[in-house]
Amino acid sequence: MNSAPVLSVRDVSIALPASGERAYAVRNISLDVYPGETLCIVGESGSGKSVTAYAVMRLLPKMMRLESGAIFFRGRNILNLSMADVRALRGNAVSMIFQEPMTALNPSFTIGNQLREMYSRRPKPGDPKGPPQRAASILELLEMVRLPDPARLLGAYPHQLSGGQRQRVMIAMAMALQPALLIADEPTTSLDVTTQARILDIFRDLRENNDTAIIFVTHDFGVVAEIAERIVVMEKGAIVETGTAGQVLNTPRHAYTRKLIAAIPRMRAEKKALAPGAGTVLKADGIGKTFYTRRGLTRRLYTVAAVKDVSFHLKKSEALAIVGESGSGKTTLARCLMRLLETDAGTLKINGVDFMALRGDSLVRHRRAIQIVFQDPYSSLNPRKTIRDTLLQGPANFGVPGPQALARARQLLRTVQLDENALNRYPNQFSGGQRQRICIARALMLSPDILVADEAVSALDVSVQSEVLKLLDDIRNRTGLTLLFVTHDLRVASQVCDRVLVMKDGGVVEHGPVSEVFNAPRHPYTQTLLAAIPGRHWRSLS
Amino acid sequence: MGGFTSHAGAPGKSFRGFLSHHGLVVSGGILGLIFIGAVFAPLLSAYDPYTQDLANRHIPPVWYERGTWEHFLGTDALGRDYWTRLLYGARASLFIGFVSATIAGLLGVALGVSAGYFGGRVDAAITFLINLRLSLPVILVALAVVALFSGTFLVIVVLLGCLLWDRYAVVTRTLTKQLKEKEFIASSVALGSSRTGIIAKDILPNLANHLIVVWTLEIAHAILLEAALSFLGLGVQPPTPSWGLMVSEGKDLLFFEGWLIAIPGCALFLLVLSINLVGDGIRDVTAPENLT
Repeated sequence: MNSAPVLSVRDVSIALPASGERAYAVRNISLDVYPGETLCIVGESGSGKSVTAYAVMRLLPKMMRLESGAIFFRGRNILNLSMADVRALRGNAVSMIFQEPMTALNPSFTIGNQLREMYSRRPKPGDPKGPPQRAASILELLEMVRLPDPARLLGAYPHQLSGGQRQRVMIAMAMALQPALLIADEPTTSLDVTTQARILDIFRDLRENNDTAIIFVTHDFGVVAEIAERIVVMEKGAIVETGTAGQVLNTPRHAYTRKLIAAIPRMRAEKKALAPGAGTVLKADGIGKTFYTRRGLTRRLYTVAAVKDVSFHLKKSEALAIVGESGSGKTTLARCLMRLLETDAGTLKINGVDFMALRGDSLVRHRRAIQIVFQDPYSSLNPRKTIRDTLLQGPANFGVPGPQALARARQLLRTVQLDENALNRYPNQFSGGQRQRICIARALMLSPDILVADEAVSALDVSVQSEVLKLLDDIRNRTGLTLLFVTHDLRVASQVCDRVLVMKDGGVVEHGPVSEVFNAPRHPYTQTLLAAIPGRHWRSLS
Repeated sequence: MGGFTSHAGAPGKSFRGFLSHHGLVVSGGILGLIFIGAVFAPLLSAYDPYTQDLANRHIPPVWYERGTWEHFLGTDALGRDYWTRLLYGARASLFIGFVSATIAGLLGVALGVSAGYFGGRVDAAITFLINLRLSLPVILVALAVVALFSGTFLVIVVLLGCLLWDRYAVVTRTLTKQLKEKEFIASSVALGSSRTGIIAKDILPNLANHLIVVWTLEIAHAILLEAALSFLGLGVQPPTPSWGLMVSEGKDLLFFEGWLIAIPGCALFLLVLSINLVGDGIRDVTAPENLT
């Protein structure tokens, strides 16, 4: 890097409100970004990586105060600029892309409208583009982000686009005025892997064809391995390591970086031995579920076949992964198996009992056998119930005497590595990972035969994720629990499961032992999924 | 990672939480004083609210030139002590407000939770009821009913209770629909909880702190409606003291003895304001983030 940095952050400290867990969101951080390079800021939740990005845009929420330091953009300290000057910088010289593409576009205007607004709002001095040139450069932008049929797309509204397409429109908008600095805050986190792979391609394009410097904030080392040139690792508001991509990824110096990299789930597609002669606990045959909605004045009937003819069986203490992208029907399938949703077709036998035919009291009695842990640790616990009430709820429904249930609750809390005094506390006093352990304990209170984990570790940081995965594996080994693991993450699936079932558009495209499916995928879709895993060329992961 | 969430530190014991909320302390204080005034009215005044004293009519409050400390808020057109009338009048306002808002709450929450939780036909029927209720002009219906059954206390309380449930129903219906999608409800189903169990333990506790706000709004609403009805001569019947009735009785002298209206008017204003502030404060303090 021979040129001057576009952005220099010097000794910036940002204070948090007094009542918080720690005094500073970030403390004494310094970093430089040079023209044309991609700098990745990596860290777990709460590391201060997003706060840093927001500070550069002067977008810090009011409760956070920038206490000391300076942020130089092209040599000017942007902390001293008036709000009018800051507004002139935003979108023009510095632009930003956010995590959630579904809410980042205004639903009332067409894509073309919103792109044209980027130009009309900020005419570039010395570059007065008239409407015809503007139209041409908008089409160019859309081609740059590889959107199909850009001319038609200009007339489309955001709801007509998929999440990946919207994120590409966001990138086009951010790049419209050729900013000197582009800040992307987890831009691919809420997207499917295959979509993510395509968005990362676009970021690589941007780097090669522009002078724009990119700050890419992410928690995913796989993504970092794909696109970073330089890496900044943050922990609890401090920068622990800075270096080139090769150096940080392959020879990390700081213990925290090493810990983070070690916690990333590896592909573990070796053959796993299964206890011989185990009985079948679950047998699903031709499960189908169609959603019907009536819309519009004519009440026209729309149908979506969410799950189509899915069959599989589970032996005792086996672990089956159901993988697929969003919309593949994997969560609907899980809810059907739980009888949280009613199926339209197929049979399901659990321990030989026809689960789909059960009604009323006998259904409630048989629910004990199959329990579930959900994705979002924040909405899976009733905020108004203490952990004791949450854990004892199931046993109380089944008439288990209080003292006996309480003893089991204590024992399970120890199993999930939580303190016994957690019993009297409310969910808001626990972190996401701790809440997920409580959810696991709740599901185990009834000693189920089958545990369904519906994206149970997707919302967790990698280090927490690996602990929860290990916990599930331990419990399975000790108690012979059968696991049904619904996930979009193939590496996580390979970590815990023996067999895998790949779903696409509601149907099963491939089904077999992990070692076969992941080492020699037969179906093209499985091959695409495996190829899209970020960081697959990085030797630490392979 | 996109946004920031602020978790204000748990305020320790809930009582300390109450005291650290300034709006709640001030409005709670005012409401408390009005409450004490209503309950201990006989101890706080030497006069009877009904006894007329025609020799001492139209005495202005003490801050006027002709005012005396004997009747420090003056007397009305029949020579009754205005302070005493005000204290006893608070009883009517508070009673009608609390009881009718509570009746309305029971009705509205029952309807709203059923509509939100069961959905489908039940929801369609209850939404129709809500729309029906919203299309009825409250004052006109109240006028008709009072004209039929006469304006006794009981009739007014029940009447207001049956007219003010719409906001509860709308709020609970929407919140219940949102809550129903939460995964802890699905967990409860999987754990074998019954529908009544889920409504009682998972839904109602999570509605409570929103309902407190609606409840206080409706108390204030009911108090104002009672005052309006009394003002129109259809609410509490004279000589029973009520703040609305006091305004009504004073209206002929509006331009000559304005305090006859200003005093009960200010009292109503303070009461309604403090009830609303107390509601907001309680919601803040009891939010789930502050549970310890």
